[in-house]
Amino acid sequence: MLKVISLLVAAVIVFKIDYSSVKTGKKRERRVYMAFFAISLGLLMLHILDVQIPYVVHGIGEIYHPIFESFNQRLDQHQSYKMN
Amino acid sequence: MIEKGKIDARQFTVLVVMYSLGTSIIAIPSTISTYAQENAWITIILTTLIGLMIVFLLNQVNRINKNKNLFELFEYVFGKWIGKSVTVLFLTFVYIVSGKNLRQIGDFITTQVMVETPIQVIMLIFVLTSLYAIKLGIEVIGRTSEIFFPYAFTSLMLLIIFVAPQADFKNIQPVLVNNIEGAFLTVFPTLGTPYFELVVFLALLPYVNRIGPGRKAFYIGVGIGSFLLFAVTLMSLLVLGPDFSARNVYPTYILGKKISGIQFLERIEILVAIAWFFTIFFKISINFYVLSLGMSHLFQLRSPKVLSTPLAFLILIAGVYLAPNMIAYQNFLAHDLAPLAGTFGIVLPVLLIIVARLRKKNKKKKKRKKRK
Repeated sequence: MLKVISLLVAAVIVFKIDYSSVKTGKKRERRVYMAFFAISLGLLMLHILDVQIPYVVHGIGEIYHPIFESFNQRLDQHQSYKMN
Repeated sequence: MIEKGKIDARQFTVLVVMYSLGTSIIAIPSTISTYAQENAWITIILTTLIGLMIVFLLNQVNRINKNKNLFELFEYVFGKWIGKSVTVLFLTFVYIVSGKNLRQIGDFITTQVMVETPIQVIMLIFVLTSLYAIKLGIEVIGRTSEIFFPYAFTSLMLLIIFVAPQADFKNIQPVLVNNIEGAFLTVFPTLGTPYFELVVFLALLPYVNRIGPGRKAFYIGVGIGSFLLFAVTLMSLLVLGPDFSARNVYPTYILGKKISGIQFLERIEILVAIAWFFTIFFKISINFYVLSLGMSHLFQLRSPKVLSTPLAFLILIAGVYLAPNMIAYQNFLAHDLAPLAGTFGIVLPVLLIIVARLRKKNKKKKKRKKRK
Protein backbone atom coordinates (compact mmCIF):
# COMPACT_ATOMS: atom_id res chain seq x y z
CA MET A 1 0.00 0.00 0.00
CA LEU A 2 2.87 2.31 0.88
CA LYS A 3 4.31 1.78 -2.60
CA VAL A 4 1.00 2.76 -4.23
CA ILE A 5 0.68 5.90 -2.10
CA SER A 6 4.31 6.86 -2.86
CA LEU A 7 3.71 6.40 -6.58
CA LEU A 8 0.54 8.49 -6.47
CA VAL A 9 2.31 11.28 -4.56
CA ALA A 10 5.20 11.18 -7.05
CA ALA A 11 2.74 11.22 -9.96
CA VAL A 12 0.93 14.28 -8.53
CA ILE A 13 4.25 16.12 -8.12
CA VAL A 14 5.40 15.23 -11.65
CA PHE A 15 2.00 16.22 -13.05
CA LYS A 16 2.03 19.58 -11.24
CA ILE A 17 5.51 20.40 -12.54
CA ASP A 18 5.02 19.12 -16.07
CA TYR A 19 1.42 20.11 -16.76
CA SER A 20 2.29 23.81 -16.55
CA SER A 21 4.14 23.47 -19.88
CA VAL A 22 1.07 21.94 -21.55
CA LYS A 23 -1.47 24.25 -19.92
CA THR A 24 -0.94 27.03 -22.44
CA GLY A 25 -1.53 24.65 -25.39
CA LYS A 26 -4.71 23.72 -27.22
CA LYS A 27 -7.48 21.66 -25.61
CA ARG A 28 -6.56 18.73 -27.85
CA GLU A 29 -2.96 18.76 -26.59
CA ARG A 30 -4.09 18.74 -22.97
CA ARG A 31 -6.42 15.80 -23.65
CA VAL A 32 -3.70 13.76 -25.37
CA TYR A 33 -1.30 14.58 -22.53
CA MET A 34 -3.84 13.55 -19.87
CA ALA A 35 -4.58 10.29 -21.72
CA PHE A 36 -0.91 9.34 -21.97
CA PHE A 37 -0.26 10.36 -18.39
CA ALA A 38 -3.15 8.15 -17.23
CA ILE A 39 -1.90 5.20 -19.32
CA SER A 40 1.66 5.49 -18.00
CA LEU A 41 0.45 5.88 -14.40
CA GLY A 42 -1.87 2.89 -14.81
CA LEU A 43 0.92 0.70 -16.16
CA LEU A 44 3.31 1.81 -13.41
CA MET A 45 0.61 1.00 -10.86
CA LEU A 46 0.19 -2.49 -12.34
CA HIS A 47 3.94 -2.99 -12.10
CA ILE A 48 4.05 -1.84 -8.49
CA LEU A 49 1.14 -4.15 -7.61
CA ASP A 50 3.05 -7.06 -9.25
CA VAL A 51 0.32 -7.66 -11.82
CA GLN A 52 1.62 -9.86 -14.62
CA ILE A 53 1.54 -8.13 -18.01
CA PRO A 54 2.53 -10.20 -21.09
CA TYR A 55 6.21 -9.71 -21.92
CA VAL A 56 7.06 -7.87 -25.15
CA VAL A 57 9.51 -10.57 -26.37
CA HIS A 58 6.76 -13.21 -26.19
CA GLY A 59 4.49 -11.11 -28.40
CA ILE A 60 7.24 -10.47 -30.95
CA GLY A 61 8.13 -14.17 -30.88
CA GLU A 62 4.51 -15.10 -31.65
CA ILE A 63 4.67 -12.98 -34.80
CA TYR A 64 8.14 -13.84 -36.12
CA HIS A 65 8.85 -17.39 -34.89
CA PRO A 66 6.63 -19.12 -37.49
CA ILE A 67 8.31 -17.19 -40.32
CA PHE A 68 11.93 -17.51 -39.17
CA GLU A 69 11.72 -20.91 -37.46
CA SER A 70 13.82 -22.80 -40.00
CA PHE A 71 16.46 -20.04 -40.12
CA ASN A 72 16.69 -19.93 -36.32
CA GLN A 73 17.00 -23.73 -36.12
CA ARG A 74 19.79 -23.65 -38.66
CA LEU A 75 21.52 -20.81 -36.77
CA ASP A 76 21.21 -22.70 -33.47
CA GLN A 77 23.05 -25.66 -35.00
CA HIS A 78 26.15 -23.44 -35.06
CA GLN A 79 25.83 -22.31 -31.45
CA SER A 80 29.06 -22.92 -29.54
CA TYR A 81 27.03 -23.75 -26.41
CA LYS A 82 23.34 -24.19 -25.65
CA MET A 83 21.52 -21.33 -23.91
CA ASN A 84 18.34 -23.29 -23.13
CA MET B 1 7.90 20.54 -39.64
CA ILE B 2 7.17 20.46 -35.91
CA GLU B 3 10.82 20.66 -34.80
CA LYS B 4 12.50 23.95 -35.65
CA GLY B 5 16.01 23.12 -34.40
CA LYS B 6 18.92 22.37 -36.73
CA ILE B 7 22.11 20.36 -36.27
CA ASP B 8 25.19 20.42 -38.48
CA ALA B 9 26.70 17.50 -40.38
CA ARG B 10 29.48 16.97 -37.82
CA GLN B 11 26.98 16.67 -34.98
CA PHE B 12 24.96 14.25 -37.11
CA THR B 13 28.10 12.13 -37.70
CA VAL B 14 28.79 12.01 -33.96
CA LEU B 15 25.17 11.07 -33.21
CA VAL B 16 25.34 8.23 -35.78
CA VAL B 17 28.64 6.97 -34.26
CA MET B 18 27.21 7.10 -30.74
CA TYR B 19 24.05 5.33 -31.92
CA SER B 20 26.02 2.63 -33.75
CA LEU B 21 28.17 1.97 -30.68
CA GLY B 22 25.57 2.27 -27.91
CA THR B 23 24.39 -1.16 -26.72
CA SER B 24 25.93 -2.94 -29.75
CA ILE B 25 29.40 -2.62 -28.24
CA ILE B 26 28.13 -4.63 -25.27
CA ALA B 27 25.80 -7.04 -27.06
CA ILE B 28 27.45 -7.81 -30.39
CA PRO B 29 30.78 -9.47 -29.39
CA SER B 30 28.97 -12.11 -27.33
CA THR B 31 26.12 -12.85 -29.76
CA ILE B 32 28.40 -12.96 -32.76
CA SER B 33 31.00 -15.21 -31.06
CA THR B 34 28.24 -17.60 -30.00
CA TYR B 35 27.33 -18.44 -33.59
CA ALA B 36 30.33 -17.46 -35.72
CA GLN B 37 33.02 -18.44 -33.20
CA GLU B 38 36.58 -17.76 -34.49
CA ASN B 39 35.15 -16.26 -37.71
CA ALA B 40 33.20 -13.56 -35.84
CA TRP B 41 35.51 -10.82 -37.15
CA ILE B 42 34.68 -11.82 -40.75
CA THR B 43 30.97 -11.65 -39.90
CA ILE B 44 31.48 -8.09 -38.61
CA ILE B 45 33.20 -7.06 -41.85
CA LEU B 46 30.33 -8.51 -43.92
CA THR B 47 27.80 -6.83 -41.65
CA THR B 48 29.58 -3.49 -42.05
CA LEU B 49 29.41 -3.75 -45.85
CA ILE B 50 25.69 -4.54 -45.72
CA GLY B 51 25.28 -1.75 -43.13
CA LEU B 52 26.75 0.78 -45.57
CA MET B 53 24.33 -0.47 -48.23
CA ILE B 54 21.49 0.09 -45.74
CA VAL B 55 22.70 3.69 -45.31
CA PHE B 56 22.60 4.06 -49.11
CA LEU B 57 19.01 2.78 -49.07
CA LEU B 58 18.04 5.18 -46.27
CA ASN B 59 19.63 8.10 -48.15
CA GLN B 60 17.54 7.12 -51.18
CA VAL B 61 14.41 7.31 -48.99
CA ASN B 62 15.47 10.80 -47.91
CA ARG B 63 15.80 11.79 -51.58
CA ILE B 64 12.04 11.20 -52.10
CA ASN B 65 11.55 14.58 -50.42
CA LYS B 66 14.53 15.97 -48.55
CA ASN B 67 12.50 18.50 -46.54
CA LYS B 68 10.11 15.97 -45.02
CA ASN B 69 10.98 13.84 -42.03
CA LEU B 70 10.07 10.15 -41.89
CA PHE B 71 6.58 10.64 -40.46
CA GLU B 72 5.73 13.29 -43.04
CA LEU B 73 7.14 10.99 -45.73
CA PHE B 74 4.79 8.18 -44.66
CA GLU B 75 1.77 10.41 -45.28
CA TYR B 76 3.31 11.95 -48.40
CA VAL B 77 3.95 8.53 -50.00
CA PHE B 78 1.22 6.26 -48.62
CA GLY B 79 -1.57 8.83 -48.21
CA LYS B 80 -3.11 10.15 -45.00
CA TRP B 81 -4.69 7.08 -43.40
CA ILE B 82 -2.26 4.37 -44.49
CA GLY B 83 0.52 6.80 -43.59
CA LYS B 84 -0.88 7.26 -40.09
CA SER B 85 -1.21 3.47 -39.65
CA VAL B 86 2.41 2.97 -40.74
CA THR B 87 3.42 5.74 -38.30
CA VAL B 88 1.69 3.87 -35.44
CA LEU B 89 3.51 0.62 -36.33
CA PHE B 90 6.84 2.41 -36.69
CA LEU B 91 6.41 4.17 -33.36
CA THR B 92 5.65 0.82 -31.72
CA PHE B 93 8.97 -0.41 -33.10
CA VAL B 94 10.85 2.65 -31.81
CA TYR B 95 9.12 2.24 -28.45
CA ILE B 96 10.28 -1.39 -28.19
CA VAL B 97 13.83 -0.44 -29.24
CA SER B 98 13.92 2.34 -26.61
CA GLY B 99 12.77 -0.12 -23.95
CA LYS B 100 15.34 -2.65 -25.19
CA ASN B 101 18.20 -0.14 -24.86
CA LEU B 102 17.09 0.83 -21.39
CA ARG B 103 16.84 -2.81 -20.35
CA GLN B 104 20.28 -3.53 -21.79
CA ILE B 105 22.02 -0.88 -19.73
CA GLY B 106 19.93 -1.81 -16.68
CA ASP B 107 20.91 -5.47 -16.99
CA PHE B 108 24.56 -4.57 -17.48
CA ILE B 109 24.79 -2.31 -14.45
CA THR B 110 22.83 -4.60 -12.13
CA THR B 111 24.83 -7.70 -13.06
CA GLN B 112 28.33 -6.19 -13.30
CA VAL B 113 28.61 -2.90 -11.44
CA MET B 114 25.82 -2.25 -8.90
CA VAL B 115 24.50 -5.70 -8.15
CA GLU B 116 22.39 -4.70 -5.13
CA THR B 117 20.56 -1.86 -6.87
CA PRO B 118 17.12 -2.62 -8.35
CA ILE B 119 17.11 -2.48 -12.15
CA GLN B 120 14.12 -0.09 -12.10
CA VAL B 121 16.21 2.56 -10.31
CA ILE B 122 19.02 2.36 -12.89
CA MET B 123 16.53 2.54 -15.75
CA LEU B 124 14.70 5.46 -14.10
CA ILE B 125 17.95 7.44 -13.81
CA PHE B 126 18.79 6.85 -17.47
CA VAL B 127 15.30 7.64 -18.73
CA LEU B 128 15.10 10.84 -16.65
CA THR B 129 18.46 12.02 -18.03
CA SER B 130 17.19 11.35 -21.54
CA LEU B 131 13.92 13.11 -20.72
CA TYR B 132 15.90 16.22 -19.78
CA ALA B 133 17.74 16.00 -23.12
CA ILE B 134 14.43 15.72 -25.01
CA LYS B 135 13.05 18.75 -23.19
CA LEU B 136 16.10 20.76 -24.28
CA GLY B 137 15.71 19.74 -27.93
CA ILE B 138 17.68 18.24 -30.81
CA GLU B 139 20.22 21.10 -30.98
CA VAL B 140 21.30 20.53 -27.38
CA ILE B 141 21.50 16.74 -27.92
CA GLY B 142 23.71 17.39 -30.97
CA ARG B 143 26.05 19.76 -29.11
CA THR B 144 26.26 17.49 -26.07
CA SER B 145 27.24 14.56 -28.27
CA GLU B 146 30.19 16.62 -29.54
CA ILE B 147 31.37 17.12 -25.95
CA PHE B 148 31.13 13.46 -24.95
CA PHE B 149 32.31 11.87 -28.19
CA PRO B 150 36.08 12.41 -27.62
CA TYR B 151 35.84 10.73 -24.22
CA ALA B 152 33.94 7.72 -25.57
CA PHE B 153 36.21 7.41 -28.62
CA THR B 154 39.49 7.83 -26.68
CA SER B 155 38.52 5.36 -23.97
CA LEU B 156 37.61 2.74 -26.57
CA MET B 157 40.85 3.31 -28.47
CA LEU B 158 42.84 3.08 -25.21
CA LEU B 159 41.01 -0.16 -24.36
CA ILE B 160 42.07 -1.60 -27.71
CA ILE B 161 45.66 -0.35 -27.35
CA PHE B 162 46.13 -1.54 -23.74
CA VAL B 163 44.83 -5.07 -24.33
CA ALA B 164 46.63 -5.45 -27.67
CA PRO B 165 49.84 -6.94 -26.12
CA GLN B 166 47.76 -9.88 -24.83
CA ALA B 167 46.38 -10.70 -28.29
CA ASP B 168 46.92 -14.26 -29.47
CA PHE B 169 46.28 -14.81 -33.18
CA LYS B 170 45.88 -18.54 -32.63
CA ASN B 171 42.43 -17.70 -31.23
CA ILE B 172 41.09 -16.75 -34.66
CA GLN B 173 42.69 -19.61 -36.54
CA PRO B 174 41.91 -21.51 -38.70
CA VAL B 175 40.29 -18.77 -40.77
CA LEU B 176 37.09 -19.84 -42.55
CA VAL B 177 37.83 -23.55 -42.24
CA ASN B 178 35.32 -24.58 -39.56
CA ASN B 179 31.79 -23.24 -39.20
CA ILE B 180 31.72 -21.27 -42.47
CA GLU B 181 27.92 -21.44 -42.71
CA GLY B 182 27.63 -20.16 -39.11
CA ALA B 183 29.78 -17.12 -39.95
CA PHE B 184 27.50 -16.18 -42.85
CA LEU B 185 24.22 -16.95 -41.07
CA THR B 186 25.25 -14.76 -38.10
CA VAL B 187 25.29 -11.72 -40.39
CA PHE B 188 21.49 -11.48 -40.13
CA PRO B 189 21.12 -11.33 -36.31
CA THR B 190 24.12 -8.96 -36.19
CA LEU B 191 22.40 -6.55 -38.58
CA GLY B 192 19.56 -6.21 -36.06
CA THR B 193 21.71 -4.06 -33.76
CA PRO B 194 22.52 -1.35 -34.88
CA TYR B 195 22.20 -1.38 -38.69
CA PHE B 196 18.46 -2.06 -39.12
CA GLU B 197 17.76 0.38 -36.28
CA LEU B 198 19.49 3.20 -38.20
CA VAL B 199 16.16 3.86 -39.92
CA VAL B 200 15.30 6.20 -37.00
CA PHE B 201 17.83 8.67 -38.44
CA LEU B 202 15.45 9.30 -41.34
CA ALA B 203 13.43 11.27 -38.81
CA LEU B 204 16.48 13.42 -37.96
CA LEU B 205 18.15 13.80 -41.39
CA PRO B 206 15.92 16.73 -42.49
CA TYR B 207 17.12 18.66 -39.41
CA VAL B 208 20.71 18.67 -40.64
CA ASN B 209 21.32 22.24 -41.86
CA ARG B 210 22.88 21.09 -45.19
CA ILE B 211 21.38 17.87 -46.47
CA GLY B 212 24.24 16.91 -48.86
CA PRO B 213 26.96 16.79 -46.17
CA GLY B 214 24.31 15.26 -43.89
CA ARG B 215 23.97 12.22 -46.17
CA LYS B 216 27.76 11.92 -46.36
CA ALA B 217 27.91 12.21 -42.55
CA PHE B 218 25.57 9.22 -42.33
CA TYR B 219 28.13 7.05 -44.19
CA ILE B 220 31.06 8.40 -42.15
CA GLY B 221 29.24 7.85 -38.85
CA VAL B 222 28.33 4.25 -39.67
CA GLY B 223 31.88 3.69 -40.96
CA ILE B 224 33.53 4.92 -37.73
CA GLY B 225 31.03 3.06 -35.54
CA SER B 226 31.52 -0.16 -37.50
CA PHE B 227 35.30 0.15 -37.34
CA LEU B 228 35.17 0.46 -33.54
CA LEU B 229 32.75 -2.47 -33.32
CA PHE B 230 35.08 -4.53 -35.50
CA ALA B 231 38.14 -3.58 -33.44
CA VAL B 232 36.47 -4.41 -30.12
CA THR B 233 35.08 -7.74 -31.40
CA LEU B 234 38.46 -8.68 -32.88
CA MET B 235 40.25 -7.82 -29.62
CA SER B 236 37.68 -9.79 -27.67
CA LEU B 237 38.38 -12.82 -29.87
CA LEU B 238 42.15 -12.38 -29.81
CA VAL B 239 42.47 -11.78 -26.08
CA LEU B 240 39.62 -13.79 -24.56
CA GLY B 241 39.16 -16.41 -27.28
CA PRO B 242 35.92 -17.25 -29.12
CA ASP B 243 34.59 -19.66 -26.47
CA PHE B 244 35.09 -17.28 -23.52
CA SER B 245 33.64 -14.37 -25.57
CA ALA B 246 30.54 -16.49 -26.34
CA ARG B 247 29.99 -17.67 -22.78
CA ASN B 248 30.22 -14.17 -21.30
CA VAL B 249 27.28 -11.84 -21.82
CA TYR B 250 29.60 -8.80 -21.60
CA PRO B 251 33.00 -9.83 -23.01
CA THR B 252 33.93 -6.19 -23.70
CA TYR B 253 33.71 -5.45 -19.98
CA ILE B 254 35.87 -8.49 -19.21
CA LEU B 255 38.27 -7.12 -21.83
CA GLY B 256 38.42 -3.89 -19.80
CA LYS B 257 39.39 -5.93 -16.74
CA LYS B 258 42.35 -7.30 -18.68
CA ILE B 259 43.97 -3.86 -18.87
CA SER B 260 47.16 -4.09 -16.84
CA GLY B 261 50.88 -3.71 -17.25
CA ILE B 262 51.58 -0.28 -15.83
CA GLN B 263 51.03 -0.42 -12.05
CA PHE B 264 48.58 2.47 -11.71
CA LEU B 265 46.52 1.23 -14.66
CA GLU B 266 44.71 -1.60 -12.88
CA ARG B 267 40.95 -2.21 -12.49
CA ILE B 268 40.01 0.70 -14.73
CA GLU B 269 37.26 -1.24 -16.52
CA ILE B 270 34.61 1.01 -15.00
CA LEU B 271 36.14 4.02 -16.79
CA VAL B 272 35.69 2.13 -20.05
CA ALA B 273 32.15 1.21 -19.02
CA ILE B 274 31.33 4.87 -18.28
CA ALA B 275 32.29 5.67 -21.87
CA TRP B 276 29.65 3.19 -23.02
CA PHE B 277 27.11 4.82 -20.71
CA PHE B 278 27.54 7.98 -22.80
CA THR B 279 26.98 6.11 -26.06
CA ILE B 280 23.94 4.30 -24.65
CA PHE B 281 22.58 7.57 -23.25
CA PHE B 282 22.67 9.04 -26.77
CA LYS B 283 21.08 5.92 -28.25
CA ILE B 284 18.22 6.07 -25.74
CA SER B 285 17.88 9.83 -26.26
CA ILE B 286 17.74 9.55 -30.07
CA ASN B 287 15.12 6.79 -29.94
CA PHE B 288 13.17 8.70 -27.31
CA TYR B 289 13.37 11.88 -29.37
CA VAL B 290 12.15 10.12 -32.53
CA LEU B 291 9.34 8.56 -30.52
CA SER B 292 8.30 11.97 -29.15
CA LEU B 293 8.59 13.55 -32.60
CA GLY B 294 6.46 10.80 -34.14
CA MET B 295 3.83 11.10 -31.43
CA SER B 296 3.59 14.84 -31.94
CA HIS B 297 3.13 14.26 -35.68
CA LEU B 298 0.50 11.61 -35.05
CA PHE B 299 -1.52 13.74 -32.63
CA GLN B 300 -0.62 17.06 -34.31
CA LEU B 301 0.99 18.57 -31.24
CA ARG B 302 3.03 21.77 -31.36
CA SER B 303 6.26 20.29 -29.99
CA PRO B 304 7.92 16.90 -29.30
CA LYS B 305 8.30 18.04 -25.68
CA VAL B 306 4.56 17.88 -24.94
CA LEU B 307 4.29 14.09 -24.54
CA SER B 308 7.88 13.47 -23.43
CA THR B 309 7.19 13.03 -19.69
CA PRO B 310 4.43 10.38 -19.98
CA LEU B 311 6.47 8.68 -22.72
CA ALA B 312 9.50 8.49 -20.42
CA PHE B 313 7.49 6.42 -17.94
CA LEU B 314 6.05 4.30 -20.74
CA ILE B 315 9.61 3.53 -21.95
CA LEU B 316 10.50 2.55 -18.40
CA ILE B 317 7.57 0.10 -18.42
CA ALA B 318 8.72 -1.24 -21.82
CA GLY B 319 12.18 -1.86 -20.33
CA VAL B 320 10.72 -3.71 -17.34
CA TYR B 321 8.25 -5.80 -19.33
CA LEU B 322 10.53 -6.49 -22.30
CA ALA B 323 11.67 -9.92 -21.15
CA PRO B 324 11.18 -12.05 -18.03
CA ASN B 325 14.89 -12.77 -17.58
CA MET B 326 18.35 -12.50 -19.15
CA ILE B 327 18.07 -15.78 -21.08
CA ALA B 328 14.81 -14.73 -22.73
CA TYR B 329 16.40 -11.37 -23.50
CA GLN B 330 19.52 -12.95 -25.06
CA ASN B 331 17.26 -15.23 -27.11
CA PHE B 332 15.34 -12.19 -28.29
CA LEU B 333 18.60 -10.50 -29.37
CA ALA B 334 19.73 -13.57 -31.29
CA HIS B 335 16.45 -14.65 -32.89
CA ASP B 336 13.70 -12.03 -32.91
CA LEU B 337 15.35 -8.61 -32.95
CA ALA B 338 16.72 -8.82 -36.49
CA PRO B 339 13.37 -9.86 -38.08
CA LEU B 340 11.57 -7.12 -36.14
CA ALA B 341 14.14 -4.43 -36.92
CA GLY B 342 14.47 -5.68 -40.51
CA THR B 343 10.74 -5.16 -41.10
CA PHE B 344 11.15 -1.46 -40.34
CA GLY B 345 14.79 -1.00 -41.30
CA ILE B 346 14.72 -2.70 -44.72
CA VAL B 347 11.21 -3.69 -45.84
CA LEU B 348 9.63 -0.32 -44.98
CA PRO B 349 12.29 1.85 -46.73
CA VAL B 350 12.14 -0.40 -49.82
CA LEU B 351 8.32 -0.12 -49.84
CA LEU B 352 8.58 3.68 -49.48
CA ILE B 353 10.93 3.92 -52.46
CA ILE B 354 8.82 1.62 -54.67
CA VAL B 355 5.51 3.34 -53.87
CA ALA B 356 7.06 6.81 -54.27
CA ARG B 357 8.45 5.88 -57.72
CA LEU B 358 5.15 4.35 -58.84
CA ARG B 359 3.32 7.50 -57.77
CA LYS B 360 5.80 9.66 -59.61
CA LYS B 361 5.31 7.61 -62.77
CA ASN B 362 1.52 7.81 -62.43
CA LYS B 363 1.72 11.59 -62.02
CA LYS B 364 3.84 11.89 -65.17
CA LYS B 365 1.38 9.71 -67.10
CA LYS B 366 -1.54 11.84 -65.96
CA LYS B 367 0.28 15.01 -66.98
CA ARG B 368 0.98 13.58 -70.42
CA LYS B 369 -2.67 12.57 -70.84
CA LYS B 370 -3.80 16.08 -69.87
CA ARG B 371 -1.46 17.63 -72.46
CA LYS B 372 -2.85 15.34 -75.16
